[in-house]
Amino acid sequence: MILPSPGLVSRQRPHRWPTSPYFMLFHNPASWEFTGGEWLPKLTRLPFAPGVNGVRQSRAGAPVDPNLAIVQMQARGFKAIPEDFDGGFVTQVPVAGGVAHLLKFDTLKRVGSASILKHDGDGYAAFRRKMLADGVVDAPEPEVLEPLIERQQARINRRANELHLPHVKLKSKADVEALKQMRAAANV
Amino acid sequence: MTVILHSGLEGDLRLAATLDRNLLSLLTDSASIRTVPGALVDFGSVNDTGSDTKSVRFAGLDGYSAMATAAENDDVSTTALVDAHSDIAVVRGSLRHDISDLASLTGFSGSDVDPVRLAVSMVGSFEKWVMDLIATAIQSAGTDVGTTTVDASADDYFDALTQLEINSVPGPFTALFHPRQFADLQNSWRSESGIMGFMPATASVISIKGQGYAGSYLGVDIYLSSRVASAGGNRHGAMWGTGFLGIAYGDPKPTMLSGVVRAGPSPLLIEIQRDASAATSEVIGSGYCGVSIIEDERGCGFVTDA
Repeated sequence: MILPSPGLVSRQRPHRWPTSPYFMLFHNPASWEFTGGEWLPKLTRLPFAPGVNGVRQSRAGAPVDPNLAIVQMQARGFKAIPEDFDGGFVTQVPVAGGVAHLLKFDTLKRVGSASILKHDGDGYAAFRRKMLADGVVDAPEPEVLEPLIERQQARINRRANELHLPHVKLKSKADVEALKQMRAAANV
Repeated sequence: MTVILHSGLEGDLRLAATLDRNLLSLLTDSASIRTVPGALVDFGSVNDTGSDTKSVRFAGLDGYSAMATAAENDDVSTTALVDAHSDIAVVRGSLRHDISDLASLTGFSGSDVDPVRLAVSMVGSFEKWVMDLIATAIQSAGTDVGTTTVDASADDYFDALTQLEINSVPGPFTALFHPRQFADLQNSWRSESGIMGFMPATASVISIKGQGYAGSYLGVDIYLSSRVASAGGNRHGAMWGTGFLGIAYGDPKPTMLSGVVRAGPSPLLIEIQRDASAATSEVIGSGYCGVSIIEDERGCGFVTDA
């Protein structure tokens, strides 16, 4: 019987997952989603990928230059989320071909020879809730939420003449309940 | 009686396996929307501009500011011109394959991996890189539809379309989705009735529009790409009208490029370089390109479950 020697590490293949660059998170004050009975900010990524949205390339070995891109996002009305918020939110995972930068609520798990991304939805919701509590993101104005509520109402209206179909009736019932919760949470 | 068997000949007169002359490509997503009319606005080359970054200029003209009724003798006040800009940074993408002479000369002529075949393959590699740029760019769309970790539905599709209509975005409309999103959408569309039918791409349409074209729904041409990013439990697709995305190029002109005829400016340069002492050919492709969201209001992110 061969016992593993102290200090030996197992030979593990890197995850089969695409590489992805470091990114910053931004919030557009008009971008919200209703999930789990509450309104939470929808966050937008700015990947530091050279050639994308104004991120500039630099010489080999030097960091890319995202300054133009960051200014451009702010000019478009986005608010940058501080990169050290909640102890930082970007993790690095070695993958075949390099490194993948992931949100800290995402983890890669091996399934056979493939890898899948597992997302911690509760953790991500708590992260966004903390943004609101700490004032990193301002609470939404009711006027901002109104179009989103109207969107939900439109979904219900669209199905109004198909309620005789069982699956439509079921979906519509859930949508009506969500609409009530949306209104209550938005105070409108 | 001694029968001559194949198994007995293997090793001397027969081979255990022979290589087929066909050289097939491994499955890959080679869809590209770079040249789809209306999908991206081409802002040309950064050559001879003094910068690697193109600043796209916008001015509020042609009805951006409406007139207001004024009395016949009013001394009307001046209205400032609204302006804006958006930057497209052109960067280099590259790929290099080295192949030894022995590896090359032992191949089947006409259907094997050799420097010429590797050079031809660079075109597909360039298109894939550009698709990466496009798929990465659309992640930063200002507004989006869909709910985190909830499957894409017909409702999300209508929401995206409504968002574009509310913003008075002129067509044609293009959508870029991950195949997973499209599969979820199709599930949802199957329960739709009436005129909300999906027009799938037929073979003849695919032959015109190229791989990746999935069909048209409510006036939106839908393209699929596995390059659409996955993050936060979601896929980050988008739907947009012309003017949402811009692309700019660089046309490499190496000074040592004597004796080479090029049909015209091209963002892709493929060179074969000899390392004679190592009896190796190096095939290097360099492409110069940048993609940016240039006018946020003309597009809408489509963020749904991965």
